[in-house]
Amino acid sequence: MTTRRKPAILKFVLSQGTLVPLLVLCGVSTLCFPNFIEPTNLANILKQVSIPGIVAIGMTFVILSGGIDLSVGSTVAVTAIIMAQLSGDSSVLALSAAVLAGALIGAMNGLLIAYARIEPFIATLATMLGLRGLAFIMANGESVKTAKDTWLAQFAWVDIGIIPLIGIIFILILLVAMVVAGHSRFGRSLYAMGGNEEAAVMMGLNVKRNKMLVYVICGLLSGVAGVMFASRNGPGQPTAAEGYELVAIAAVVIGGTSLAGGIGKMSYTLYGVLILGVIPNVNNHHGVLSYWYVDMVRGLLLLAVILLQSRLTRKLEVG
Amino acid sequence: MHADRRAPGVSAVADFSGRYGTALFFITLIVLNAFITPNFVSLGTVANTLVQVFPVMLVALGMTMVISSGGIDISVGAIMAVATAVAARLYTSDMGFIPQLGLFPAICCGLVAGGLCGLFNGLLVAKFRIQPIIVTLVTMIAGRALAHIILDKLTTSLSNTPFGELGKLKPGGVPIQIVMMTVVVAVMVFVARKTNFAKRVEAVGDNPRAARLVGINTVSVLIGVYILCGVLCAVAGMMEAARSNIVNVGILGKLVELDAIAAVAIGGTAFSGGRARIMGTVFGAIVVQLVTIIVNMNNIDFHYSLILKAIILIIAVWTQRKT
Repeated sequence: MTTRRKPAILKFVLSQGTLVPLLVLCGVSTLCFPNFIEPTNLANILKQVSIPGIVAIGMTFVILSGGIDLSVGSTVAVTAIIMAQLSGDSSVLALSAAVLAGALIGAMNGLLIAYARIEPFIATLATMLGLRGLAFIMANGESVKTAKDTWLAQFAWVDIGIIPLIGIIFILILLVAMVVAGHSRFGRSLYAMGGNEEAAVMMGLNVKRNKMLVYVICGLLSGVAGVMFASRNGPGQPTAAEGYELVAIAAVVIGGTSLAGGIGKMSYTLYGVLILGVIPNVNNHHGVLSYWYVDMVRGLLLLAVILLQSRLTRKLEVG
Repeated sequence: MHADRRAPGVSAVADFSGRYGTALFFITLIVLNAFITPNFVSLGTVANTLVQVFPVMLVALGMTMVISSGGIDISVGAIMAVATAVAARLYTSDMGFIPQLGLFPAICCGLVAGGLCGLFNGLLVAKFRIQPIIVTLVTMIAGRALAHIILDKLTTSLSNTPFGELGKLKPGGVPIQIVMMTVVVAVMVFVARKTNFAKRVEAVGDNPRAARLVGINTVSVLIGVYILCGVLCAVAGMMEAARSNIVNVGILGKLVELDAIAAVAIGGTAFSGGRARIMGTVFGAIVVQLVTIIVNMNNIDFHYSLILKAIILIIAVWTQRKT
């Protein structure tokens, strides 16, 4: 696509999403606050980004396929409540019921989008609303206590060495997702669908089934995040994970994946998740800004990335 | 627009349900509730519904134009908060370099703030060609933070001030919200049916490239649409604050984007852009509000209304989708 030659270093930078901005951010943070780079603090960042990070992985699949899923936050809430309500009976039951519920919610989204042909934005907006209502009704408007002595209620607090267990789970899921998105049949059809859906249909790809699968994966991962959320935060709250959809979408976009679909990588999402996690971490430790300014910085950062992206990609295309 | 390609017999039915489906649904909802909901048929309920639907109605009308242009604006709630924060801050205290303002100038500043937020959205969408959902996501995240920074605190009371009284005016016994809403709806219907602006918006929404090729200045059309939406959000935010006597930037306008989008969807404006159905949106907004009120009046848990709205939204979009 390029007609003009680009310096190799710029090409590398472009091919790595927002890895460079992340490294710059970390570098500046270390220079300003030396204890930023301490292992305990880094472990802390990992702990804080793991749960939204898992949601963002699911969102990356959806966005690569050219869709969007606004219902992830509500899915986390519903599955967290299921897990909290059942955890008294049996941990295995609670875990599998919550994850299964997440997958079922994803299947519902997939049905609406792939088979009823409702736009993803609208379909998942509706399920976002409906599931939030369901979460409140299931919890009777109160928080549901998690049984405290089971392994399921405690696993999110376990550290291996100084590395949090949920961080390890996040990284493992990310690695699997990277392989699936980058090196599988399903992954390649994702890019084909996201790039040009009509062409994908004409090539003989089963777009409907793949779409279905994409939303099921996203729902399932939201269910996993819901289980972690309940374990980490104790009671299942009907208001839990409000705004997770925004964090997840922002992480995917800041990482460098295009919302138009078909352009981006699973690994980019890690950068986006970490960038979003580093900002409040620096702030928490050093109290530079009030809580509200953090949101402001996040918004401006998102803006900077998309402006930069639109310039760079246009240059690449126009040459 | 798309119905004319169908067979004549099918087209008549589809056309009818497409055009009047919302109205039919609306009437069914009213008749059903006349029987099941106690005290539903009273002037008080009607007035109450119309007063409460005010913010959603105004935002939904702005959203209709945005969606007609092929975009979406999820920052409407945040814009409500920003505009109201500006007006309330200037009205209740001096900001050092800016003196404390009277009611009218403060409200004008609020309107300008709403317009500026819209300008920001419009510039990024039209000039930088970034997807509307991402642009307005930025405004949504940063906007509420900005509102908080402007107001310098979470809440400000407006009780016993002329600003607060504004929300309770009843010229000729009719609540001011109903008067304003009637005016805004009339203006929007006029704009949508009689002006070139609406035709240009529709053209841009239908096919931006073709619109540009026939000489439409798509950039200014898009910017105009987002500014219009921003100003309507500002009006909605300030009136809502005046009605409830309090400015809470954390809550004001929260989730209004969902109700507004649902209203537009129920009203039959296509999300891929195209004709703006203003009257559809008017009915859509009332349907959304009726669901909330009906659930309240029948002593059903408020959260069931969320599920009901979700189901109505799905059915509305599903029956109106392009075949």
